[in-house]
Amino acid sequence: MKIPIIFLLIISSACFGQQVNLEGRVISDKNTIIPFATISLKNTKIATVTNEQGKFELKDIPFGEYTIEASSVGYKTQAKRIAVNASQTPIEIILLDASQELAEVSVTAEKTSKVQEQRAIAIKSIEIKDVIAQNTLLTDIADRISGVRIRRSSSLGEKSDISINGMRGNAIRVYIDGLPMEFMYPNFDISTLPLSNIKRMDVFKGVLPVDVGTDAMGGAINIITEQKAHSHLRASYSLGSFNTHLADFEVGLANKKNLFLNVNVAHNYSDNDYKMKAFVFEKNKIETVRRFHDKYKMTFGGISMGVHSKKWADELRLAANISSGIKELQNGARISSTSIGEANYQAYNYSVNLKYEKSFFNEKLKINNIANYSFQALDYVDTTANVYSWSGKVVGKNVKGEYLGESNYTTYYNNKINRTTLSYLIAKNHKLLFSNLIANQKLTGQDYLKDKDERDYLTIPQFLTKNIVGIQYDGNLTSKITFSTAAKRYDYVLNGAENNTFELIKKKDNFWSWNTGFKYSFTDNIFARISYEKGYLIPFFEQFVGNGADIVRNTELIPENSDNLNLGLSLSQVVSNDLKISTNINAFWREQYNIIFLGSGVVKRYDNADQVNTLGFEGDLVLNFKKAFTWRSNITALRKRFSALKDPRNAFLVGSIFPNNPTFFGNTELDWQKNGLLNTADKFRVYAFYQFVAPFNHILIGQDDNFKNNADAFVPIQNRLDVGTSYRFAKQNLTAAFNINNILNAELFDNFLVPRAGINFNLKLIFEINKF
Amino acid sequence: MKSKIIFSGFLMAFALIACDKNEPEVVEESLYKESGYLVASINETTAGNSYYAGHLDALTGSTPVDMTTKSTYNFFYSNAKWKNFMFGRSLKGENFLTKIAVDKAGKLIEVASFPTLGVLNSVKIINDNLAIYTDFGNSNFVGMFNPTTMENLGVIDMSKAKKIAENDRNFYINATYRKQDNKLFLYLVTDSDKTSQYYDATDIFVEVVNMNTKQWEKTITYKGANDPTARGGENSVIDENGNIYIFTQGTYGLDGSLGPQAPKYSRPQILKIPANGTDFDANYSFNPVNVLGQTNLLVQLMLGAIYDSNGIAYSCISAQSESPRIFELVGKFAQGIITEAEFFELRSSIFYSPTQRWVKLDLNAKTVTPIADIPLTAGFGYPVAYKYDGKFYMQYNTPSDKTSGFYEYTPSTGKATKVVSITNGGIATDLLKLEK
Repeated sequence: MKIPIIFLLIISSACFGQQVNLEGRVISDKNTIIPFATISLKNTKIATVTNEQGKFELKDIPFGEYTIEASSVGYKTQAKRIAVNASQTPIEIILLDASQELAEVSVTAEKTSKVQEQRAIAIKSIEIKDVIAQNTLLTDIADRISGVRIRRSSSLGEKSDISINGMRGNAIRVYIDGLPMEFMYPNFDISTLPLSNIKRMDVFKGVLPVDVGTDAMGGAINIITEQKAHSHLRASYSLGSFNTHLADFEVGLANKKNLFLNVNVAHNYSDNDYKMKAFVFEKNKIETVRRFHDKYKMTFGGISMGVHSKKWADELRLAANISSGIKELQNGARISSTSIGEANYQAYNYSVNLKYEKSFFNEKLKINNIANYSFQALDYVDTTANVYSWSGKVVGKNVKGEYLGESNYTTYYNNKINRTTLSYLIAKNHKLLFSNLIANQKLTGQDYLKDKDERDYLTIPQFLTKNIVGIQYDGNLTSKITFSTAAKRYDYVLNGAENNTFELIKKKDNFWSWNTGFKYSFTDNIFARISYEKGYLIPFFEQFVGNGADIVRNTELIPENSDNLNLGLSLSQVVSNDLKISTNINAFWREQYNIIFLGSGVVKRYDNADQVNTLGFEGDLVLNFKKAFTWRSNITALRKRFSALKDPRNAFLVGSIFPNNPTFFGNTELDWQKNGLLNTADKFRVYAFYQFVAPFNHILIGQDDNFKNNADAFVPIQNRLDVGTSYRFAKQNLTAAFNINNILNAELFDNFLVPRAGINFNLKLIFEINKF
Repeated sequence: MKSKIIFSGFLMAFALIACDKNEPEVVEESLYKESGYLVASINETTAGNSYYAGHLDALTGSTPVDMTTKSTYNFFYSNAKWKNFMFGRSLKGENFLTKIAVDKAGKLIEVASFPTLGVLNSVKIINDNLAIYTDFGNSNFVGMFNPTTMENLGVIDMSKAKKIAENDRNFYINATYRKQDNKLFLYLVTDSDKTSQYYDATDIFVEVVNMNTKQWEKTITYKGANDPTARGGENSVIDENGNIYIFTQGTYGLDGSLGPQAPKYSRPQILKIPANGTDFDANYSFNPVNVLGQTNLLVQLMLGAIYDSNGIAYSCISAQSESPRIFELVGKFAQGIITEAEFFELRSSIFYSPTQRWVKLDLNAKTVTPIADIPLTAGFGYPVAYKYDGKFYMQYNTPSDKTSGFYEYTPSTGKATKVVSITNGGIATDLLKLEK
């Protein structure tokens, strides 16, 4: 801790140029004050909000030219160029009613998120601050987006399987600020990331820009972290059912020299002991039981410091994080007749991250570089011979190992990543983007079950290096046409070890891919877009080299790849002064080739096998009435089928529905907001959310099978209803929220028929001071 | 009280009238099919295994059967059949011993079940009221149940039975019941996780259980043989007199025991426990693959068996020379220069190529006669055979024409004809005749 403080003191003592305070106010075009409007200087970290009188102050602004931007819900965002100098006078910004900008009313479409959603490629972007009172996990937020389904039970800490437009598993990647999460936190899940540190979530439905993507094959989620550079304090605590506690605290200090220091800690804990129906061995019948071995605990701490808005750097930030977690296991991918009662894993992770941003030539050229190093150790222990009933009792003995056989090992990951991104504004409305990501992962470990004279496969270091470079053009060809195209090159080198001989082997390969997007705006409110990407997925360590045990190597594996085509139409319309409507309709087509598959023969290895086609559409609709009532709905329908099979004997399966994929689902939410209920700036919100998932097969089914005549092959109909309310006490800087999930206590399941929790609640308090 | 007595008298009189013997006898109709055949198949894809099963009123001959028009299940494999019921793991693939029937609509239905600690391994029905079962992981486990009521009847104490402690698994893969002396013979498989998937001993151990007392009696050992039973529906057979013939499969060669120089224990053998005795006949050992002339095979396999009468049995055995490519790969293996891709190719060729053949065995004369009407088959997967009404039904699997199914073999004529041919649905696994 001494080093950061000394560093801060040293850089605090430095002095850079002349500065002045910038004051002003924001009013509407009807001359009414606009409280809590967001004010920022573009391309800096300088930002604030207006007070209840609509006034703002930005302190210690270095002399120079800036673009000041003001935004507020219900108004068009305004930007204007200003010169900051010694004779600075107050600035007045007038915001126009957003009668032409309907999407502003959507909680999921504001500011940067709105800009993202206007691109030629299909993106859904969500500002986390708009939904944080209602949700506790990122996966819950993603699960409400059209075309997206998150497969997980209600167990906090359990790994999530993300499905975007029918593609799932490893085909979908998760990124944090453009860096692949599997290289930062190899065994952590997206649901475990504390929401308080997250600013925005971009869901890419098929096509990935070069500054985000790696070898994702069918879409990705990019998590943009909150990187405040002003003094602030934030604390939140959520108490939920099943002894669930989510707490986080962050304090940020900034000085007039544009130095900043942020410290944050978070702690998550849950017993995850929700009730569900399961077989009780000793009674030989299904009963309602309480999960008993599913505890999860994670502690996270981070510190970041840096400087912004300097001549030599728009931002320079050094961050360090440390985290540890433990998770008990209760069941495998499916619920079986007995449970898991002792297996668990613990993970430890630390990372350092250095970020540098700078724009040149009056912002024509921008450079962004993020470097990250992380280390992770994971201890996995599964050694018991006890057999546990779902009642929690030990009912007998079996072969050791409850989940995948007797195991007691530690794996160590050392990860290094660097992404460099350059963007250059060739001319107005024409931009070139270049991005290079290099990532290296080293895997070692120790198997504690090996005898002293046995060679331990895990101790052999194995390396995977990927380099993905891409160049992209974005441009507005005319006032109506937006065009984007990109080329990417993938290089990878794998140094692994062979099962039989333990000899080192090397696999090296490269390939190209491309994507493009085209958007046509019929009017200011209606546009259509089409996009395509050839996606690739580089195989993992184990898929190439085996596991040192029963899976043998196959270095002949080729990357899985896919064609992704998206066609969409977007409309936003003001029907009257009181009623606004917006909708997006997208059709999508996916063709996955050479799917990597582990067979079940006497000798196992991963092979490239079948080909699968997905065709579907999704749509959402948002209605806003009198700026108080908002009704949001979305629906997704898709068919995922085999289109070719490697084994000629399986050719008959062409056209068969691929299992474990919801085929028809949607949700609808009605909320009512009232401002100034107790005090002028207070905000009250109440909502009801309903989600429907139609039955879908969780095993391959025959031609005549349907939900009526073969119900066991299907996950049944799911109806979920949530309700909740939140209140923001503006004077106290406090938001309180209370949510009741699955209020009808309906039976809900994941994609493999694992039950989810019945009725449950959470109470959340968020205290936040954005400027002091 | 008085009124109750009068009412009781009235009821009794009514009951007597109702039991008038002149009334036609009411025959309760079964809820399940009691005739026809249950056919099942399996196939494997990137989406996992599919298990198809459906009912046939009659065998279809050469008319192809499209299993995809039947129902699918999470799991189906019958460990034993008794009348019109099947016994195996649950249709969800979970650890239950489940009694399964075919409902009137032709779909499989679970009639009753009870949970098992490990994966069900074998079921042996002894009579209407007694059966035994073993499981895969639970060391030396033998359980009893009533196949009619599915009542769990407890376990047989096998604490004194043979157990190789250093191996991770010691379990009974199959059993033979001998009615002549009411004894049960259980065949031990012992396996270590530290080696590949093969039997980790060079002797065979058979446990003898007295079913009068339900007590373990003794362990008998045959030195120089391994893998007592594996694959197929029946792996040991018993003749009319009570002579037990144990079919040892032969090793997969994964331990490097390949070719004619491989130790004898690694090659298939038929061993004998004579009637009226509970010890091995030390002088009886019969390798049908050698008798067939395939002594030079790298890997000899004997997969499954079924007994006919008068010392005649049938088995699916290795029956074709390996290709030059396989010998090339073995040469590399011997020199220690084989790559894993080549090793994978080698093992796949040995196990999953159509190189096995159903043969007629004379267990007394130790002769082997190929059943010529049944083509070479990739028998490693499901080398099952059944005996119904004096005829035999043997599974075949020919990847070249993408078909799998069953041949019907008539012992009196020595002829075999195709009676079930599956085109869509993978590899045939079951052909079960439903009976009252």
